[in-house]
Amino acid sequence: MKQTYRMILALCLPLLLCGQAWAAHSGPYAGVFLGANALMTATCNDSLGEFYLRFNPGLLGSAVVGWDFEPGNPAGEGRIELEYSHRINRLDQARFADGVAPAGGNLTADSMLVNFYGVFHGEGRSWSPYAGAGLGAARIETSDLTVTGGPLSSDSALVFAYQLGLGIDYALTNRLSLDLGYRFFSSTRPKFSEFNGPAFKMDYLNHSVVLGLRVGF
Amino acid sequence: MRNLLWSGLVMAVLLSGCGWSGSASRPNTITPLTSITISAAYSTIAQGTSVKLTATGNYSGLFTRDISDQVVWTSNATTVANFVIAASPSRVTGLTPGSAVLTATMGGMSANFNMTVSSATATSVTVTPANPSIALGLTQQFTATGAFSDGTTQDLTFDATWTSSNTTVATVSNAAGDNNGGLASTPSNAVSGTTTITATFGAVNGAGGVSGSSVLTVTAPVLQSIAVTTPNTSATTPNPSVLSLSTVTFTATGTYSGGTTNDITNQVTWTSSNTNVAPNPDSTGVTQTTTQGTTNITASLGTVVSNTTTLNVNGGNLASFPVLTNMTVVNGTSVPISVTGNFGNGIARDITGALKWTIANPTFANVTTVSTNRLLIRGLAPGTTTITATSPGSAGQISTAFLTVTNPGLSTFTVSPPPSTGLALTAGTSGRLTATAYFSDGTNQDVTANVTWGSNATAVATVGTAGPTGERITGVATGTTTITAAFGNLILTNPVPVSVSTRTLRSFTIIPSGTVSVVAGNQTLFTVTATYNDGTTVDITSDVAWATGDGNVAILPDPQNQPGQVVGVSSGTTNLTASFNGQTSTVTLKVP
Repeated sequence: MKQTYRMILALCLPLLLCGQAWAAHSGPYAGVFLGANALMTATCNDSLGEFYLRFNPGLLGSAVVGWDFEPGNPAGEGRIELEYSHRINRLDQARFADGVAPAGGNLTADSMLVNFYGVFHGEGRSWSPYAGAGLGAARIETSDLTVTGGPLSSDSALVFAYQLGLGIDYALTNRLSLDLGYRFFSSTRPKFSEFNGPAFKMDYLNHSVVLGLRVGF
Repeated sequence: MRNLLWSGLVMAVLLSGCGWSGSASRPNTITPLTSITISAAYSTIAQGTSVKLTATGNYSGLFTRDISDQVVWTSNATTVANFVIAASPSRVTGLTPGSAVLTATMGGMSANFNMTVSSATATSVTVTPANPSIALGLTQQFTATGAFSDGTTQDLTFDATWTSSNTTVATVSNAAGDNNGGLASTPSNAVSGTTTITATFGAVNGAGGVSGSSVLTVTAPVLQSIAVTTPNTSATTPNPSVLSLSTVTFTATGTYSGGTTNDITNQVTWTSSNTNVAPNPDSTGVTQTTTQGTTNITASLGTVVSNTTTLNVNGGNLASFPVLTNMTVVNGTSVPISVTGNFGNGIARDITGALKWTIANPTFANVTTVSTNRLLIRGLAPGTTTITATSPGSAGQISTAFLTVTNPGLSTFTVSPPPSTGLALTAGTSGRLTATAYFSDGTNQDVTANVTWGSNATAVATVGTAGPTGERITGVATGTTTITAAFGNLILTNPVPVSVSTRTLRSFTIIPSGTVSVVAGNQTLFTVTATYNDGTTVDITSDVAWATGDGNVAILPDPQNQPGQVVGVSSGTTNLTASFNGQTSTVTLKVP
């Protein structure tokens, strides 16, 4: 993880410091992102009590289509976009009153959000920081979650989702830009049925780092 | 550099989600059960006895759990040993001598336990503990141990029949269940004394068998807990708020074994954690606060210590009070004294009753307390002495003045309002009369408190007690009467006429009304004006019954002699209510 982070810095810093300044794009755009995500240890509750699920870091892929507002727009400088994301994390361990048990299976989250980002353009530079938020829905699925080989849950739930994001755009050309960003993604608590047991609710709190390309039209 | 900071922040947030937190409460019912083991106190039991088996489940090597009540118990030789006790499904009983394999089955897993039933017979039973003593309301678990003909011993607590020789002292349980037999307890109406607890094994139809016994002594109830309360504490407000220089009365209630309670205020040792705020309460539970702050009050008796009650003292620290001026009082009469304390930040209130008053030579005069803040100095004999006022606390302020008791001759006395004016009252309300005496040395003095007042028709108007503004005359019913007055050897020549009218009350209101802000520690005066159907308005401030909803927020320090006077105590909101003639009027008090 640390090595990857250093590589990203090594690639990006020269661009940030030495790049050529391009005019800010306005109009429609599309983009794709790839990244890593870390799902926070989830607090779960059912009629038997409280337990915890810990997940491994996983991958994140997303695609966006949106509209860049032109610089000087009275509504503000920024963009609005529709984002589809797919996050996946493998269940690593579960902790019950009896102790920690090895666990398996995947938890996936497919989300559709409308994002609003404010972009802070600067004179004579190609990079622009941005920050914003998004609202939408997510379908979160427990795919064959097991605890010590015993089945826990295989179910899905549709929940309200939201996202906070920030990052840096780097304009490679007038139409093409590189985006390095951080996303905090969360949802209302999804409820999943358990095998031969009660249903449980769990937290979903996710941190992601993404790298993407956006193309303007 | 800024980008590096952003990256560091992101990494820190990422790492924050990696640890366990909280405490899990849900049992793991998902990990598969992989094996069962059975254990018991004995693998050989005597015929007619029983033993409880314990089944322990091993879950994939991760943890174990007692599953005795979840497994299915079976025996391959049910005539030798079998599970026949419904109240204790895991307890096996030896029925006839021989061997049996006992099995526990659950979730496709099973385990066996080899049990032998011997033909040994009980030769003695020992009951332990021997001759214990308990207090009324408590319990004692007895154990019966049997010695058998083959030299073995076995716990017979479950299998024995338990009896008590004196059930008015204690009873002993034979209820089914693993932890019920041999449990001695005292009934709710039990008395102190002794009883013999006997365990009998092997009796047939109540006869025969082998017995053992122990004498149980039941003593008087013992104190188990102490609860400390004040008039302003409740379940939702366990820690009261009061003003500085105020008196607080704590009550200690003891709860004894058996559930009885008793007021033990004068038996406990009282402790205040911060004696600068309030000294240790005395044997009656009373303490007087000195400065702002908090102190924890506890009561203890023997080894039992009460809950901690935090006393919150507000209302400022006394900065000063006026220097006493020299006073003169005529022998045989009384004059009121009043002191207002300055607490800084504009906070001032009457502290007359909070001060300690001392007469250097008590043969000349004394000080009597009429109500919280109404004190009277009474001349007892001619002469000069000093009077000293001291504020509470280790650093109390002191003021001293000369007090002279004179003995002039009484020339005359007058009342106000004079007989020529009289009093006009509405039934149910009151008016005031004052009296002034004139002496041979040219002095005069308010002697309202010393005059003997009387009504010639108490069905029309009655005479009350002297307050700070005069003698209280209350109208009872329509009519006229006269009020007489006598002082010394003089009688008022012309009694004061009083006319009483009966009117129908339309409404009355507290002034100021609505929501009133009251500063903690400061006095705010409220008045009440009644409006009658004929349009008459009457000040009934002294005639209503005053009350505040929460004494932790605001109090009426002296409703008898300072009616309508409210002092804020601590932040909050409460009601001030005036009740009169079956009606109430309310304003909201808000203490910032």
